[in-house]
Amino acid sequence: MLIMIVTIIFLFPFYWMVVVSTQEGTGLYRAENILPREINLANYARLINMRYFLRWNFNSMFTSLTTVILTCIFCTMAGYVFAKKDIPGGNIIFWSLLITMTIPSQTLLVPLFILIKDLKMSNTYQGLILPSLVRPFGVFLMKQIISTIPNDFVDAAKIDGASEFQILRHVIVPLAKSGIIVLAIFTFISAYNDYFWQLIIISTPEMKTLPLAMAGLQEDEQCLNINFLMAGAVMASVPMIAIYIFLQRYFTQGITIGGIKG
Amino acid sequence: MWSKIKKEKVSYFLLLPTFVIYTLFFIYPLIRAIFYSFYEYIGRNFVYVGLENYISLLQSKIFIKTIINTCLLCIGTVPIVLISSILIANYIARKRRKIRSLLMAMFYLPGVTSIVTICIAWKWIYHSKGILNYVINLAGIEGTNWLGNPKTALVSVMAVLIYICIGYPVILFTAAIGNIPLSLYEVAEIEGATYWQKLWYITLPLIKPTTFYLVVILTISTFRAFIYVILLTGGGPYYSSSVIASYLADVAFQYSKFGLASAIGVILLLIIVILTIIQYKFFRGEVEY
Repeated sequence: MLIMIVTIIFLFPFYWMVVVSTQEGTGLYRAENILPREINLANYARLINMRYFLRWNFNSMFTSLTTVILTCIFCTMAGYVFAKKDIPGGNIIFWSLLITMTIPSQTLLVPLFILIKDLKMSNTYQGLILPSLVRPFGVFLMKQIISTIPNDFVDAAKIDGASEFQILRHVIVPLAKSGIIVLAIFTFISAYNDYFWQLIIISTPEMKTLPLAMAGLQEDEQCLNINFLMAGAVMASVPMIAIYIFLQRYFTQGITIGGIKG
Repeated sequence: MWSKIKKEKVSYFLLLPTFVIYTLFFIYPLIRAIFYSFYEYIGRNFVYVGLENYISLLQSKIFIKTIINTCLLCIGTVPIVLISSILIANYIARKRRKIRSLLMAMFYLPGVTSIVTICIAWKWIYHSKGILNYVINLAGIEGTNWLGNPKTALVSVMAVLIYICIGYPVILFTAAIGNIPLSLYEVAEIEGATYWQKLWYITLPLIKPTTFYLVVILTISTFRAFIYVILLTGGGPYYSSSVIASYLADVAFQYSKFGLASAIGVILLLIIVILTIIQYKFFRGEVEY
């Protein structure tokens, strides 16, 4: 019984958002319409017909996916070295990476902003992607996952004359696949949601990411149209919800790996 | 030494991207942040001001208020999230697989939705003519402009924060409770233990490592949380919901006081490092990372 109430409270904001977004856009906010009488997709049509709508989607997907791909490659490479190699200085580098996990990103906000400006990367994709490649958690996660792969696999490949890159590609990557998918999911979520960085780096409408543009509807609207705003809010989440539904079984699994077990 | 480094040159090559990214986008900005905190950005130039930024911060009533707000946010959020997620997990851990994964997915949904979406939705739920006031008016309670009232703004932000971050603990606790052997509970039931006795004497001791881990993670993340504040209230009204990190963003990008903002960043960093050390000392041996 109690869980039913919790569930209703929990899902209500989503329900409410979808209902309000499908009402006729009059600018009026009617709390009484909990059960909608009609479904009207005009607000969505108006959104999709906005000049840069496709571009915003592309910007979000391109920057998030590039961040994901590069993060997965770099973290797997580094995780492999930390897990399977005994190199001078390796431990020091690994622990200093771990310590950085506690440092709040806000501390770096101003210097990073000035650095990106000095590198002439404001309002570019590089400016969005490069700073978000810093993922100490990813290196840590990949090291933990690759540590569980028995050394025999690596040694056997070595005896067969495989190069380090072949070992990575044909032994490590297939065996660490579930970890890589988990890392990809978490990186995607946080890159997509890196709202404040997108806000300060992006200055022109065509470079905006989808969440940035949707949040911007609140300011652009002459007379605030709540129904249209809500359609925008729903739209901002469509890529993430799609990925969540698609990869759902990896989520719970991944959270437990990343949490304690690792 | 050198021969070993030479032998492992492929390893160093594999570390190279990580190393370059960290040096350029982490170590270097960190050093700059400390450096900038002794300077102020005046007319497109950085001018040395010594400790002035720190002194003016510690004398600033607003900054002290943001520190208090941050602590309140943390003290309010962490226990509520922990207790409710343990109760929820205790309920769903023994459900059938299908229902369990459905409920876990639901609680994690706010965490995988765009932050912008969640905040816009709540902003209008909280609106003075919004659905929340409509519902509580039906119950005969006078509503308010939740985010615009200095008395309720911080609590309203806290509720959204709890809403967003509860999914992760629910999933971890569900996994942890699911790993407790059923026989323990069966024995307790034969002895006539109640629901609360089983929770207190069996479940809680056995999920201690998870709990400690989550206390550390949740404390750090509530101290860093700022985007909810920026999107919901902008820190207002009258800084009543402003936290350290959102105040930093304000100082830097509204007033272009980059030096002062860097000093706030360094103080935030110190607070988090001290908290981490205290918690680490306190929980050492209990947490298996």
